Order: sequence, then C-alpha cells, then structure tokens
Amino acid sequence: MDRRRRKILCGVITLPGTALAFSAADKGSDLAVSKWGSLPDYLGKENESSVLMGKKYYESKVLSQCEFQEVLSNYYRSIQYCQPGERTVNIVDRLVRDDFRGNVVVNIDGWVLSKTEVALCIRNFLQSA
Amino acid sequence: MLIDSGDIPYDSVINTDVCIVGAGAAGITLARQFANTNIRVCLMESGGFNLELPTQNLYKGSNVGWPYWPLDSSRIRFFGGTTNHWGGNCIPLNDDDFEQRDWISDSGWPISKTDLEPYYRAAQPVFGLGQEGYDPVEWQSDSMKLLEFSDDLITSNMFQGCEAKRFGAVYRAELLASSNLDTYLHANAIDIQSSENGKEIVRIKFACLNGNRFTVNAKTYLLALGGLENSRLLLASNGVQPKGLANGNDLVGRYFSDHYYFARLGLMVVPEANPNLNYYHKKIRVSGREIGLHFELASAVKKKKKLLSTRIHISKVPWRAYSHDPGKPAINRDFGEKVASKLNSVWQSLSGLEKPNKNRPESYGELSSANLYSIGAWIEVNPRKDSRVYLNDDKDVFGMPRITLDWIIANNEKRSLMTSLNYFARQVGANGIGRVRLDLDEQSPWPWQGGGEPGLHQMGGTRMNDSALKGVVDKHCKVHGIANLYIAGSSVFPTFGTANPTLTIVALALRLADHVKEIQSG
Ligand SMILES: Cc1cc2nc3c(=O)[nH]c(=O)nc-3n(C[C@H](O)[C@H](O)[C@H](O)COP(=O)(O)OP(=O)(O)OC[C@H]3O[C@@H](n4cnc5c(N)ncnc54)[C@H](O)[C@@H]3O)c2cc1C
Repeated sequence: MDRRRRKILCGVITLPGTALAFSAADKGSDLAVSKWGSLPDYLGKENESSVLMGKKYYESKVLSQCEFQEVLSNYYRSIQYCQPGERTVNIVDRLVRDDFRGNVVVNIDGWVLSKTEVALCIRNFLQSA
Repeated sequence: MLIDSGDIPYDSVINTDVCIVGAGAAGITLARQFANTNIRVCLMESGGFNLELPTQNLYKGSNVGWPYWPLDSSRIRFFGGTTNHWGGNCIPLNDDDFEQRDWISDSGWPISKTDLEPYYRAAQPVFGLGQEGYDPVEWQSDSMKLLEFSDDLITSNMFQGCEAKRFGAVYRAELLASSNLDTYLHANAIDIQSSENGKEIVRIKFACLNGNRFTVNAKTYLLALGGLENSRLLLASNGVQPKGLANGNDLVGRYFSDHYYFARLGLMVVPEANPNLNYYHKKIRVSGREIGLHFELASAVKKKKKLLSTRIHISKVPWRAYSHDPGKPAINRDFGEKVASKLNSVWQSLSGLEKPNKNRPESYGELSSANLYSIGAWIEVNPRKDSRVYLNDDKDVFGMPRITLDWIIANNEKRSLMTSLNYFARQVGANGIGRVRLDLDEQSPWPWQGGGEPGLHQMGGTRMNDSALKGVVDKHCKVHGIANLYIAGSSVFPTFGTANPTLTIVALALRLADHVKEIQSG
C-alpha cells in the first residue's frame, strides 16, 4: 500500500450523503480498498468538507449522545458480523437504507437524512478535532 | 342548425325534448350523444364562437377564501367553454378516490370506478386518445423505464396529453350538421322555473346582452355550465324555493373544492444522472403519444397513515435559479447549497471509487443541474360543507346575483402533504436514489408561500350522493326531488382525488346521456 493510499485509508472514504471514516482496523476495509484501485485526487478536499458537515451536525445536536452511541454501536456490530469479504461501503449503504426504511431519520435544515450517515459524519468530525 | 339568440323574436318560446345549457366539455359531449337521433335537442350557449368581453364579464365574482384566480379569468365563457384554453391533461380518478375513506369526512362516491370504467374507455376517443390505459407499467419499453421503488410503497402514475383539446373547434361542424340539434349562441340561462310543488322543471328563461329574452320548454333539462356556474344558476333560481332551486337541504354551492398545486416544496439531489428519472420531469412521447409521469403513495400507505392523496411531481432545475429565488428563506439558500454540492461531490467520489471514470467532472461546489430536481405536489382537498360558493349582493347586467367563493384548505391538508413528502423522502433514501430536502414544515406559513396555484378544476357545489340530505344529485346526476333536471360537470364530484377532472367529466356526461336516452325512449 503506497503512502498516499494509507493516509486516505485512515481518513475518510465517502459514501452517499455522508463521509464514512474508518480505520484500517475496520473489518473488510483492506479487501475493499484493494478492489477499488486508485483513489481520486480530490478525496483530500472531500475530507475537509465532510468534517465541516460533521461539525454542523454535531453542533446542532441532531442526535442525542445516547442515539449517537446506539447508532454507532449498530454500525460496529454490523462491521463485525458482516459476511466475509463484504465491503464496508456496502454495509454502510445497507444500514443507511434500513434507516430510511425504518424511519430512523433526522431532519437537518429540511434534509431528511439517515441517522447512521449523520452519526458517521459526527464521528469523523470528532476524530479530526 | 345554428341560431344567434339575439336574432329570434322577443319572448319566443322554444319547445324541445332535451335542453342542454352550456357548451363546454360536458355540454358538447352530451349534445354529440344525441346528434342524429330522433330526440330534439337544444344546445344553449352563453357566448359566441370567440371570446367577447361583455359575456366573459358575466363570470366576475369575488373570493374570500384560500387564494384563487379571479373568477372571470379562471374559466372561459364561449362555445367550447374552458376547453378553449385548458391544458389537455387527461387522467382518471383512482379506485380509492371513489371509496368512502373513514379518515376523510364525507368522502366517497355512490358509484365505483368499475361503474365508470366503460365510460372512461368511451371518453378516450372524445379527446383524440387511444385505448391505452393509465397504468404506466404498461407503457414501459426500451425507451421508457419507470423508477423502481422497493416495497411498492411509492407508485408511479401518469396522465395522457390529449390531441383534441379545443372542444368548440373540434366538434362545431359535427354539431351544426346534426338535423335534430339546434345550437343557440348568446343565450344566457338566467332562471330555471319549476312547477308550484317544485318537483318538475317547466321552463328555463334566457336573456341576451342585446336585450332579447326567450324561454325554452323541454321534457328534460341538462345543466352543463361548469363547476361554479351550475351552483350559481340553481341558487339564483329562487322563484319557488327562496333559498334556491334544489336547495331545501342547504347543500347547493357547498362542498366546493379545487386542486392546489404547491411548487418548490423541496429539492431532490441525485448522485448521478438517473436515466429513469428523465421520464418524470417533463412530458414525454411514448409510442407516439404524449404522457407525463409522477409519484403517488400506494393506496395501502394512505390508508395506514390516514392521508389524503398527493401527486408528487419533480422538475429539473438549475441549482442557481432555485437557490437565488427571492422567495426562499436564506438559511436554505446557504446551507442547502453547501449540502447539495457536498452530497453531489461525495456521490461522485463514490461512483469514482466503484467505477473509475476519467471524465468525471472535477469541479467543486458547482452542481450539474442534471442532478437537481425541484419537488412540487398536487393535493387532494378534504370535502367540507363550509367550503362553498354563495350568491353575493352584486348583480350582473341581467340582475343575476354574482358569486363569492370561500374555498377552505386547512391544516389537515398541510399535515397530509408533509407526511406524504416525508414518506417520499425516506423512500428516495431507502432506494438509494438520492436525498430530499423538504422546505415545508410545521412552522411554514399556510397558505404556503413557496409558490403554487389552484388547478382551475372547480369541483363540488352540487355533489352526488344517494341521499338528498347529503347530496344535490343522485348517482345518475339527477337532481334529488326534481323529475327532469340533471347536472353534468365536476360540480357533482363528491370527493376530489388529485386527477384533473375533465376526463371524468366527459365519462360522466357519456353515462348521463345513456341514462337520458333510456328515459326518453320510455
Ligand atoms: C388554464 C386551465 C387549464 C386547465 N387544464 C386542465 C387539464 O389539463 N386537464 C383537465 O382535466 N382539466 C383542465 N382544466 C379544467 C377544464 O377546463 C374543465 O374541467 C372543463 O372545461 C370543464 O368542462 P365543463 O363543460 O364542465 O365547463 P366549461 O368548459 O367551463 O363549460 C361551461 C360552458 O357553459 C357556458 N355557460 C356558463 N354559464 C352559462 C349560462 N348562464 N347560460 C348558458 N351558458 C352558460 C359557458 O360559456 C361554457 O361554454 C383547466 C382549466 C383551466 C382554466
């Protein structure tokens, strides 16, 4: 793994409607990344704006501490118990869709967003702070 | 035969079998059904073959309710009626629009969609349309694919754009050529006179703007003056019943509604051009026909959530045009723009990761308009007794009282619209289509100020119900308690759905014509 890719891996990989931060320890990520090939140059900028988004969400307290923890534990559990080889991007996509289906959503300035995607943005902001 | 009513002798009495008043979509459809039969018919029209301002001014009235267009520019008063400038979009009511829905007070028709189905089919050629149905699934082909929502909670629905739009121009020659049918222009019905006991109509009085007056005596009278004017003429015909003809139960003019189209209710951001969405944001041509697609909540969802119907439309917008709209609150403009461009770029990143694409736009912040849609919706309005048309003290040149419109849309509609849009937003997320921003919320002013307009689909006022205590006409469109008076047009709609009304108006007129023919033949 070259240096640039490693740096990004420990930073942010983006997902629909959110920015998913994960460390190399997240199960399945290595496998996923090796499939993805070269990452686009502008992902660095993405990192910046996703942090901004997380800040916005964090400060607006759209999720209570308790909800935030609950959503994240669900995310970690899903990562832990995913099918071998299942990519993180797909796991999050599934969680986000399930949120919408189950009405596990928040409304931020009118945007109807999944709690998982918002929690991941907040986590990313907290990690970068 | 064509007759200008201004030219016939003063105080003439015309005897006929059937007198149809009003030559719009309903009146012309009725008249065509009697053409070349042995039933003598008079088609009485207020206007001429073109717009004449003194005649159009007869439609003036006032409004004290929900925002509405001026009453003299929301319908047209000459041969062909309002079809002289309508949009031509045809769509039948849904099955559940006919049903009594226990969460919508006073809802339901005394007939079902199945009863009307043969007439809906017969109505298609009246509009120059084919026999294709209104299930968009059947219109799918390689060149048109519907957007799929899992769980069947959101469905696609459609309208057909018609070819034969201007009824007056399209059917004029046919009507004038019919030997049993006389068309009277410049004939304004001003008073329907009944027998002493009020159980039968004996004549209708007509007046012309040149001062002429005459009477029509018929066996059967069919009123087809349009959604508002049917009520007006009944209320003004108060020679025997002081509260107006057929108004013993104080129902004439009540339960009025229109549809309302709310624009700019929100935004939908879609990660990358979704080809199926392209079929939804404008009229398209499929198999040589013009159609338009929109989204609706499935009937089961409406039932479970106790919702009125909502027709959700999307239209493609350049982001900047939208965000710089002066009507929009600043918070949406700033934050919304940031979020939208953010969502757009993260999706682009994702698609880049999944499938490297060298040609991907690298620009940051500037949205490609292909990915942005504005959300609008037609709403169904709850039938309400207090939502009404009534006579005011102002009079037209014939001394006929003008009307005041008091249309009510209340919080029930707002709640229903918000819930429906929220549902839509979640389904858009659940299906990985994109994300939705909703601008309408609890705090939003109501009437919504983000934009919108009434559909100009005046309905109700002489609603259909099996009981005279709850409706003005019965299921055959016959006025309760009066043997020979019928009403055609959307004023008979007891529940409104969201469908543009004219296809249903024509289907009902075809059904009414069958019924009257049966009666006339003994
Ligand atoms: C801008 C606009 C766009 C529209 N678009 C659509 C659409 O896309 N789809 C749709 O389904 N509907 C649409 N509509 C509604 C549609 O035009 C009406 O539903 C339809 O025309 C109603 O038909 P009608 O025969 O009941 O009434 P009208 O067409 O209004 O006809 C009534 C007739 O009665 C005559 N009349 C009135 N008073 C008297 C009197 N006292 N004596 C004698 N004659 C009288 C009038 O001159 C007129 O000719 C639209 C309306 C407008 C204004």
